[in-house]
Amino acid sequence: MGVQEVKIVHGETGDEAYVSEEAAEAYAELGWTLADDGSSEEAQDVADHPIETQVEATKKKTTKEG
Amino acid sequence: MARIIPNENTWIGFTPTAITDQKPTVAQIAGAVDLTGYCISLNASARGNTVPTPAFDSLFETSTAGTSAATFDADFYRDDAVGLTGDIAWKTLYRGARGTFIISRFGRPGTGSNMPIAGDIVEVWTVMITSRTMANMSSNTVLTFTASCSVNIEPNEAYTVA
Repeated sequence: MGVQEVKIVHGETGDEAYVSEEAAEAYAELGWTLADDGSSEEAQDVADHPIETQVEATKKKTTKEG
Repeated sequence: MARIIPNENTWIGFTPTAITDQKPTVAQIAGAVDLTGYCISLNASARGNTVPTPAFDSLFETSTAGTSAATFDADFYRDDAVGLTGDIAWKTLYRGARGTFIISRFGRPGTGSNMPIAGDIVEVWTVMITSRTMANMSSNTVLTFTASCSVNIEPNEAYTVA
């Protein structure tokens, strides 16, 4: 099982990234905040199954968005 | 002109974003974790292959340019500092972490900070951490670890920050 990751967003640049919860706390000092879009679960799926889950996650997102 | 050493001239940052165009902005650099004070050594090197192309009509063995590859690994200190930013190198460079190292080798003496600003030349390495290995534990030795990385995108070894 991979590291539990959460999605963070940089307030100024809008850059997004997936990092460990521990790292997210450290990045908070540098203008990064937790993304509030429920993507952490998706990030964990990606960490556990890097290739196939990314495909599934993309499909799921596409379906949700229609 | 003067020869310089890395100490007090270098700045090493790591941002969790894969900067695919290898052109970090000043804001992206400001959002990077400053690992300069944790880094002991850093090996960011590219290596090209030459392909031999000998022919019967000559005793001289010619060659042509082949592929190139790069490796990236670095040694960092562990840190017992408490708080969110304590032991930050270990926290941010975990196995599987993706991101971009931004390295400035020529600082700005007297300015109080070597963090790159517009006009500075930096190296940009987008990587994924493949291992985070503690050094052997031995008496009277500082705790350190090695981060080894795959290099996911062709590095930019001379980008002028805009």
